[in-house]
Amino acid sequence: MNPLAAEALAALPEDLATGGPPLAEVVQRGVPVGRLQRGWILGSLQARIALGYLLVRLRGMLLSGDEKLRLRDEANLQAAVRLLGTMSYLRGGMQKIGQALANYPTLVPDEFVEVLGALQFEAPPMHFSLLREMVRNELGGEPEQVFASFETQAFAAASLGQVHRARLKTGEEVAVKIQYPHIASTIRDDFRNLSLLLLPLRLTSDWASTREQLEDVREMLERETDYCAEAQATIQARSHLAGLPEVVVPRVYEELSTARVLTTEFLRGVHLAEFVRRNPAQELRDRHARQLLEGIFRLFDRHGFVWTDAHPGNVLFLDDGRLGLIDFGSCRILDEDEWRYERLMERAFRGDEEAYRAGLLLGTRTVDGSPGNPEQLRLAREYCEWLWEPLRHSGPFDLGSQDYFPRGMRLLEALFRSRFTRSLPVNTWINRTFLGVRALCYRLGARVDVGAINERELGTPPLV
Amino acid sequence: MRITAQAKAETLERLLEVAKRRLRRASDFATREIAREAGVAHGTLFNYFPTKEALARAVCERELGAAAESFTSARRANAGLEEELFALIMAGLRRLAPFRAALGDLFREGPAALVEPARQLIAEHRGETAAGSVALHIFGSLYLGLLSFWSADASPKQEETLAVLDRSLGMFVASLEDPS
Ligand SMILES: Nc1ncnc2c1ncn2[C@@H]1O[C@H](COP(=O)(O)OP(=O)(O)OP(=O)(O)O)[C@@H](O)[C@H]1O
Repeated sequence: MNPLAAEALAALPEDLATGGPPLAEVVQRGVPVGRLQRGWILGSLQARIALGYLLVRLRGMLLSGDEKLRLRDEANLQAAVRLLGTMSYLRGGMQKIGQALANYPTLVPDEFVEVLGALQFEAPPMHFSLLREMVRNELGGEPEQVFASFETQAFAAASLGQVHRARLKTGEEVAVKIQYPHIASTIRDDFRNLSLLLLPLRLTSDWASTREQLEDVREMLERETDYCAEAQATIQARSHLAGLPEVVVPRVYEELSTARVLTTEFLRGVHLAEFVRRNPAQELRDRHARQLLEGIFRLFDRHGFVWTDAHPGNVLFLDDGRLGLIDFGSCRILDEDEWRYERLMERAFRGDEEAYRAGLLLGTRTVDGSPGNPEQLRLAREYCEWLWEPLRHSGPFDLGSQDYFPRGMRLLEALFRSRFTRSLPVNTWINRTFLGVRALCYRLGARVDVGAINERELGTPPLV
Repeated sequence: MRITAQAKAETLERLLEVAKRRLRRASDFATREIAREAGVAHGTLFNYFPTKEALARAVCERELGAAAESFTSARRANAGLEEELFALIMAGLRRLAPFRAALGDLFREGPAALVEPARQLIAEHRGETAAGSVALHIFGSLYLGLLSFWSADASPKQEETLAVLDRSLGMFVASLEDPS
């Protein structure tokens, strides 16, 4: 047996590995009542059982080389995964993991992405007694002692907790994000189980690349559950953007922040949907899109700082006309290899064909002098061209046009559908950022001189 | 010589005081030592508490009684039942924290000092019928389970206990709403 399959089977609870009790029963059990419908109960235990069940299914698939059998088992697996999605008590950590994995459509079966991506997890809302315990544990005092005032109702949900408004003793208004207790280790456990499930799935091809990507997801989840890391990233981003007066990253109050609590300056503004609903003038739309692009390009081009969370929940249109960027929980900073790759792509952007070819090979993880898969390379090139189109355009580019953004989406779909499993992990995050930003600009219907911003932000070191 | 009720109460008080101090370390919690320090004969201690565990439970009941009082004096207006039960239990755990490790399986049933205030809360929020013996029995078991979990909780700041308490109270309160 393949050592990987052996590892997966060894991880099964014993009764499952030997075909034990009718697990379908466990998996199909009714959904808990009331408030818990939205939450999840001690996720990792149930997750282990459910994933164990899936692994039993997989076993047949691994042991038989017969293609027909393999397909049948794959169908079974997909049914089981759909079932998994209906189990509300798994949603907690699973949704975070699902979101992360959804960035790797090549890594996970379609059903998985669909089910996990659709899960809308709300951490079970914390009532004030629980909140009080968290504040006591984390900040060493009652909310009423630590803050001048503290609103007992959350004003926003966070993916792993909730956000409360408060006022500091020194008078500043702040947003206090508090994480649900014990969620971090639940996610760790669930991910370990999920990895065991996924590894054998892709045994056939590119196992090294799969492993690399899973490791990347794991690291990212690790970062996202640690608010200390988020505090540091936010402080960095704030200092990187200090030179752009129209872009605000909230100040972090470190003395009131821990692994589970993040206290930041409260930004007064609205999210994209509300901003657009107010039917703002074209000029204001353009201005905010320009602010967004300036911020993102400066972070990336000058500091190798990838703001991967470029989605509408994390951009605030401030009452005073500035743009607020929040949530740096899953940021990445390019390492040396990744910088080198970006330099190659920058040269490619400037018309250096040799660099282009080398960059594409690197980006698609085509190593050892292999010529690569021509179809994948063609699609990747087309995607780059699409990405660079607004940068090459002179004067304001219409990012809201019906032609531009939807075309990119179709291209990306084709890339995903082709199921090429090889990709440099950092590409995933860069794509996420630049696609997210373009999606935002599209919804803003904005016209921006992207090329000018790019040239300005690139400065001396030529980077994409 | 007949022992007056007052003398009896004073002895009880002394025993409980000494026992509370010694309950912090399992190895210190020896009846012989406790009796000596409280100034009573070893045998006399057992007139007050039939077993060592009974003494430890009495210490805890008293702490929980004090916790229930402080909870009552600081109730938040408009709080829901679940939130109130949570606060009541946490007020108790805070008082018991010095003896956490010793509590694992000390109790056989829910401590009266907590079950009674819980009964009052349930009756207040959901009516007298909801606060029946079955509900209280479940609450008591839930509490014992929590106590033994907490006692062995190795997670940082015992945050896992918070999660377990939150979820089990959620389930408990939901069961009050839907008796079927
Ligand atoms: N400093 C702030 N000022 C104003 N609103 C804030 C602030 N911080 C957070 N919020 C509000 O809280 C919401 C959630 O915060 P945040 O995005 O940091 O949570 P998250 O759990 O990290 O989100 P994600 O789901 O993106 O991981 C935001 O969408 C925003 O509405």
